Amino acid sequence: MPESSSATREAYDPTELARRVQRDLERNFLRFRNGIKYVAGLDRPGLGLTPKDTVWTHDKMQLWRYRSKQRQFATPVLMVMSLVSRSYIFDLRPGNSLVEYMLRRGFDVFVLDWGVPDHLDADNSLSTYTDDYLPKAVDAVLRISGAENLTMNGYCFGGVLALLHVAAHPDATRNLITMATPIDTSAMGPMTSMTAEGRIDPETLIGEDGNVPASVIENSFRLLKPTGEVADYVNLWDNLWNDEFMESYQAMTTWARDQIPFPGAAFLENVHLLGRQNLLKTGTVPIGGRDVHLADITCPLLSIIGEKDHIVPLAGAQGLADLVSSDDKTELAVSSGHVGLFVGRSAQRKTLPPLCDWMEAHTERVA
Amino acid sequence: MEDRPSWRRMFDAWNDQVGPRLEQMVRTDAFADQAAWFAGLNRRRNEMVESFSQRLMHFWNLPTANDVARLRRQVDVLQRQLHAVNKTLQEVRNAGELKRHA
Repeated sequence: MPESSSATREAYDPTELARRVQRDLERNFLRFRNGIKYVAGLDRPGLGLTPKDTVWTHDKMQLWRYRSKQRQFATPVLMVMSLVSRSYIFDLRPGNSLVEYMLRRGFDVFVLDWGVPDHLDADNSLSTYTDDYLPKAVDAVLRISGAENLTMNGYCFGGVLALLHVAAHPDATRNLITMATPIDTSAMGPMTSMTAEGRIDPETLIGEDGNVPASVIENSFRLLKPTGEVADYVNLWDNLWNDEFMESYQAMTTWARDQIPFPGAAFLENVHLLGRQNLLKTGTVPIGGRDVHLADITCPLLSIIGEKDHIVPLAGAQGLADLVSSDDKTELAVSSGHVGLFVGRSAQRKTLPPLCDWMEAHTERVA
Repeated sequence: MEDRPSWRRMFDAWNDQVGPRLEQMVRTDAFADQAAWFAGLNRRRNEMVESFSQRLMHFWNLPTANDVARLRRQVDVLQRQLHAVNKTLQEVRNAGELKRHA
């Protein structure tokens, strides 16, 4: 019998029809309940809940060390976030957290939170982060953990900062990991083409406080997926009855809308050096009054790339391995998006196990 | 049997067709040119309105939002310089204390 006629008969089967009506009624009731909670802002899921201590502060930076009773590796891991997003994405929700996964695997995890820049940070250049803040944070991690070196893991633009830092100050980094890090900015689409020579003057994007407002950053991310927001709302309506979906939806949307301003001086340098001149791709970037060469990176390198990343597309993230001098370098392409690289169920299967396996293979166990 | 409601299937079909095309479109040079032109137009319009209101307010000897913003920027610059001097002083003081302990 043809499948379609069997399906049609099933659809008009009174028992099946009654079951579907009952299911839809239940779902609509749950939609109503969850919709009210969502609109009223009730029941927001807690974010960044893994127990941690603030072990060091400097200017607006905070260094968090996550508590663990099962540290098995001597080399600490320092997570470095981008300058435009909040660092709690590394520890989004219990059961969906990169930090939690790493702790379970026995690593000593530190996260560097840049804080929210204001007018006092408008003059922060790239060199402020790579030659001043990161070296200080690295010293703090080594002093607190008692280790001689660390594994640095930079996400998105945090990966760029980590690369430039390690190239200029290679001694304290034993391993370097980059996740969704832009290398060839000519492949980045509107994020760079809008500020290309002769289009928008980057100075006009800078707000009253000397920084690029968070709303500009948020809109530029939205532009990359024009139907993304509508699709999100459709998804929300379709799954509004599902408590588990609602929790992860609210966690992700809270983070995605929680952008922070981009310090003005660093933004202008980023546009001129990395955007317009695409210097990261050449391997040499002049910052802090001298040339920083990616070829000076000799430690083991793992570059994780999202094949479905719409913010840093595959073509924009590839090629890092060719620019460094490390003998041990791995490029891992995962079938994920920009955040899905380490957040969500598929990350727990596809990215986190190989990431931690690689770290295990490159780290000594506690004696 | 397909569990998704028909409205959802219709939306997904539309999104599968239109979404990738729009994503491709925003990555073209033509789109970047148009968007930059529109942003420039918007900026010029704002400048014209501001310049008109500035002339009007100044005629009555009143400060405009631009005057306040300019003053705020100058205070911000001073505050940043003070902050930098403070930081340097603190570092010198810390280095001195370290030397004394050594």
